[in-house]
Amino acid sequence: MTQDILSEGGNKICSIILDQIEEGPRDFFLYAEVDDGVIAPSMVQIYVDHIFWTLPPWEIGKVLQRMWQGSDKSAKWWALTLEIHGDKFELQFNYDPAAQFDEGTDERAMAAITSKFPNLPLQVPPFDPEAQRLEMMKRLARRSASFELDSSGVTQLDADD
Amino acid sequence: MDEAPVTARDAFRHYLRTGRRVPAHRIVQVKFNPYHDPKNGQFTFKNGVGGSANMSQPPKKPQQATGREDPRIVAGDRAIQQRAWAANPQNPANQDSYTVKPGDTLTHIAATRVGLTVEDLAWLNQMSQDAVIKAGQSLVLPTQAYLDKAKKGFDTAVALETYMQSHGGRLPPNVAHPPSLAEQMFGPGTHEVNDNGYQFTIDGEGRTRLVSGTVTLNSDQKRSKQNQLAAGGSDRLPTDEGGHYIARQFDGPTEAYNHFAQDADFNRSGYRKLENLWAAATRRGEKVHVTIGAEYSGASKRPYAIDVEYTIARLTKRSIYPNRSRY
Repeated sequence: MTQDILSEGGNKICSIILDQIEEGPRDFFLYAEVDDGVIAPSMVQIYVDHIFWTLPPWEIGKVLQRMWQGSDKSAKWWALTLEIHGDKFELQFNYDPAAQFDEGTDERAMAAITSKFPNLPLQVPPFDPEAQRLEMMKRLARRSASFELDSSGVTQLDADD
Repeated sequence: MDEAPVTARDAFRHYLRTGRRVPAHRIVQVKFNPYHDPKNGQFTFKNGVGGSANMSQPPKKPQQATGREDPRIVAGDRAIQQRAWAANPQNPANQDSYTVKPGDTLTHIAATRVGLTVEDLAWLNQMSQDAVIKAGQSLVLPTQAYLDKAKKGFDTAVALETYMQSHGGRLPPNVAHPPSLAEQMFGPGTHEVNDNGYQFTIDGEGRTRLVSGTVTLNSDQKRSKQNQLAAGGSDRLPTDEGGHYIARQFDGPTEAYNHFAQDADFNRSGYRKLENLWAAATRRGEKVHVTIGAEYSGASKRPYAIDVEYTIARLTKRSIYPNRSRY
């Protein structure tokens, strides 16, 4: 059961990423920490001579949460890595029962990425606070609009975009 | 769209039209400076006066008339020149002087102005971003009023474009003052408030939808118990507490718009840890910029999730915090 949920989730995440990020290589590496209080993904796009810091689509958040919630309590993971190469992906989970989301999440994400690609320099896109604000505004407006049409009674966090 | 670089604004337009994002590596930064071309770093007159010049040839003040020109053309030219000069970041009226203190970096100095990037600061001072600056050195800073005016122009342009896209290409009744983008997105009555360096977008129902700003520390900031108790109104749950979008330690305002009904576990779990991470980075001298979105179901005044996008040392991350009990 858990296996089905995880592989289905992996498929869904790949589909979202490949659909939303249209240009550049079809190769990505995702590191995410999840528990019942937070969903924190980090991602890079893999080029031949470098890796490129890429914001993961918001929509993968609820998929990650479903994967986490659907995992058996006896096998509860807290971090995952997902490597995508075209139409193939590989999922790995960290089950350390003592681990939890804390102030070191950014460092762990960076360590996972740099240890995976020790010879590829990381390139970071320019930061534009205005573009960030406007994109968040647009996304929230879209979410609101979709919820006004939703009368199914499902919890909103679980609703589709 | 092809492979050519696009500005962040064009990328946003593309996103508005198609719902698809342009890959971040193709995006070049939008400059608030209306005459700065980010592609080549050149200073260009947009109004056709004077051609173009690069940074080594800064534009000059409007020339005095000689008395031999057609007075109507002279008057028109001078009006155009004066407007261009008024909007010019190199006009001393738009500048402040800043004396570098020990330990300062261009990043630190840029953070003292809302809307000023380190790239623009370096350009304005004709130096590279990684230039070494020394204590006592004098730098030029754009005034906050100048940056605010440029931002207002940018916001109006985006709002106008969005209005036309959603109204079949028609212009709004008052082209100079189209409905704000926030109002178009979140409905009538939506307004924005700037408080303690943070920008709050509040909808017509009085719900905070968006908060953004650069984190600053203030250990003396007070709390408003009244606003904490009132957060969420009738939608507040028995297990809720009144929490902050921007914590007190970050000089979060005591006003109602900085509060929301949050599950008692919310602030003790991931969100608190995220705030600790921001505080540590800020103490290290790194610039931490945050954009926080509140997600609501229907007309509820209680957000069911908080979406956070934060940037530390130019690295942007996203995380989502469900606002519900963990147990």
